[in-house]
Amino acid sequence: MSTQQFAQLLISGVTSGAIYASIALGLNLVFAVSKSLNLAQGEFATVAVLLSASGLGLGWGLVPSFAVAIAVTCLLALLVEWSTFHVARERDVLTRLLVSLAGVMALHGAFLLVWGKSSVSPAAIPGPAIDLLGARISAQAIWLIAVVVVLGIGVPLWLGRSTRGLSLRASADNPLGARLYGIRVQNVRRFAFVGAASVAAIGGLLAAPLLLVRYDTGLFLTINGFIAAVIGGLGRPAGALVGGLALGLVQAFGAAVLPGQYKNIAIFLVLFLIVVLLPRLQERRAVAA
Amino acid sequence: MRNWASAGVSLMLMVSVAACGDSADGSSDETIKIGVVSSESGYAAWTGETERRAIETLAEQVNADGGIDGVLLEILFRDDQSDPEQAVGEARELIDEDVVAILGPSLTPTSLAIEPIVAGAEVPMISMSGGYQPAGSEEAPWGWSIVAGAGPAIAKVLDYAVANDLTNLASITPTDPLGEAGDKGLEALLEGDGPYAGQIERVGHEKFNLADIDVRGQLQKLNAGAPDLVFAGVSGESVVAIRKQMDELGMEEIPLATYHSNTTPQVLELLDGTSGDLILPGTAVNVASDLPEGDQREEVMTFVEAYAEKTDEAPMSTEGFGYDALKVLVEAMREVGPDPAAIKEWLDEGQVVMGINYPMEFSADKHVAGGVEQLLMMSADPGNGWTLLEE
Repeated sequence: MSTQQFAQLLISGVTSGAIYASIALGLNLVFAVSKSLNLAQGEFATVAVLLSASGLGLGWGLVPSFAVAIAVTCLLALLVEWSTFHVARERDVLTRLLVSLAGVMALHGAFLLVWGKSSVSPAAIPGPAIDLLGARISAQAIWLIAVVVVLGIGVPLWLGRSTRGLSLRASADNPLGARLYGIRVQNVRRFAFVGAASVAAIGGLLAAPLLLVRYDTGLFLTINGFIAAVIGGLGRPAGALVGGLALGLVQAFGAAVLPGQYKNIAIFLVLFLIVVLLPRLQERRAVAA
Repeated sequence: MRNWASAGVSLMLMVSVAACGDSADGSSDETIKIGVVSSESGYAAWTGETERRAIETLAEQVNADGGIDGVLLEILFRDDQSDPEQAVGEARELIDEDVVAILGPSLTPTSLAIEPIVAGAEVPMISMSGGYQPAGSEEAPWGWSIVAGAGPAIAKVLDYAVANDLTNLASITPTDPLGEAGDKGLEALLEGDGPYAGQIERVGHEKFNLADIDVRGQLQKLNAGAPDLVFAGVSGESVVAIRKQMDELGMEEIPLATYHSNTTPQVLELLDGTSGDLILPGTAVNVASDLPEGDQREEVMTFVEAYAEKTDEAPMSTEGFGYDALKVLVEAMREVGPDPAAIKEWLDEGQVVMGINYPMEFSADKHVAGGVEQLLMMSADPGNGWTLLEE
C-alpha cells in the first residue's frame, strides 16, 4: 500500500466516521437520560436533509434552508419523544424498543408520502480540495469532520460542567432522586432529544452532498451509529467521536484488505471483540486478581 | 339423513348463486385481463413506478382505438415490493384471475422467481429486467425479456472503449443477480478467447452491497490500477453515488459507464452538481428528437407526446421497457387473439415488433428482444437529457 493510498483510506475512514459519530452522539445522549435506544436517531438526519433539499428547491438559499430544516427536525424530535418514549416510559426495555421501531416505520411511511422514493443529494459546499500526502480531501468533508469533532468533544465537556448537563446525568442515574431535587425528568429527556436531533441534523446536512439520501436512509445511519456508540461505550457521549472514527476507519481499511462486499465483516468482527470477548477477558482478569 | 338433505340443498343453492353471479357479472368477460408484476416499492421502486405509467399510457391509446377487436384491455397492476417471494404470490393471484399474460417483473430475482409459476400455468411472462435473459423456448418456454441484457450492453460499452482508446478498464458491480450477470458478461467478453481479450485490459474489479452507501474503499482500489474508464454494472441511483464518490476521490477525469436502465430523470437530476461524466448504451426513446425519419421515430414521438401530456415528463428507457412489453403483447393479440398458447406460438414463429427502445426480434431460439446493434452510446447532460455520442 502506497502512502497516498494509506492517506486516502484514512481520509475516507475519518469522513464516514464523522457521520457515524454524529448519530452515535445523539444515541448516547438519549440513552444516557432514558436507558433506551432511540431507533429514530438516523431519521433525524434523513428528515433534515430532505427538508433542506425542499428548501433549496424552493430557492430559499443555504442558510435559511438549513435553519428551517434543523428547527423542524427538533420539533419532530419532540413529537418522537412524546409518542414513543413518554407514552411507553413505564414499560419494559423490549416494549420501549418495539415502540421506537414502530416510530421508525411510521416515519419512513410519512417521508415516503411527502418526498417520494427518489434520493436527494444537495450540492457540495464550494471550496478547494486539499492535498494530504498525495491524497485528496474535499471542502465538504473538511467541514463535516471539523464540525463533528467540535460537537463530539464540546457536547460531553459542556455536559460535564453545566447545570443542565449535570441534571441530565442525575435524571439518568436516579430519576426519583432527581425529581426530589426539583429536576423535571421529562423536560430533561426532551432536552436530550432536541440535542440529539440537532446533532444528527447538522451531521446529516454536512454529510448529504457526499451521499444519496432518501426516505429510508435513516435506518442504515442508525445501525452504523449504534455500532459506533457501542464501540465508544453506549450512553457515554464522550465515546461517540472515538466510536464513530474507529468504525469509519475499520470500514475503510476493511474494504482495502477484504473484498469490497465483505467489508462489513470487519466491522462485526470488531463489534464481536468489543461486546463479547473484551468483557470476558476483563472478567477473567478480575477473577485472577 | 336430514344432514345429508340439508347439505344437498345448500350445495344446490350455492351452485345456483354462483351461476347467477356469472350471468350478472358478465362485464368481466368483456375485457382482456393483463397482469403486471412490477417493483413499485422496495429498493427498486423507481422502476415499477415508471413502467406503470408507460403501460397505462399505451393501454389508454389501445383502448381509445377500440381495444383488441373491440374488446378493451384491463391492466391489473401488482406491486412485488422488489421482493421475489412477494412476486411469486402476486403472480399466483394474477394467474387465478385468468390473465392472458404477465408483464414484468422489473428485476432479475423477481423474474427468476416467477418463471416456474408462469411455466406451470402456461401463461407468457414478458419480463422488463435486464438480468433475466432466457435463451429460447427450450430453456424458458413461457419467459421473454424485452430488455437487451447485461451482455450486449457491456459489449456496446467495450466497443466504445476500443474506438476511443480507453483500453484500461476497471469495473464495479453489486452483489445481486444483476451484478453477477455483469461479472459473467465482463468475463466472457474480456478473458480467455473473449472478443475483447487483448484489446482491453481489465485493471481492477470490485464488488459492493447495494445497501452500502459508501463505496469509496472499492473505488480507491480501482483507482490504484489507473483506469481510463470505470464500468458500474448497477441499475438505479447507486450509479450517482459512485460518480459522486469518484469525483470526491479525484477521479473526476475518468468517465463512468453504466447500463441503459439508468436513463431515468432521477439519475439525470441527481447528477447535477457532480462532474456528470456518465456514458451508457441507451435506446431510441432517450434521443427521440435526434432519430431519423421513419417508423421508429413516429412510434417514439407519438408515445413521447402522449406520455408528456399524462405525466409532464420525458420518457426514458425504463418507460420504454413498460411500453415495449405491452406493445409485444398487443401486436401478438392483434394477430392471434388473447390466447396464451397462440401468443407463444406466434412469437416462436419469428417476429419483429417495433418498440420505442428498439425493434424487437423474437423467435423460438431468441426470447430476448435487444442486441448490441440496437443500442446507441450516449452521454448524460445533467438536468437536461441524453446526447447521442459519435459511433
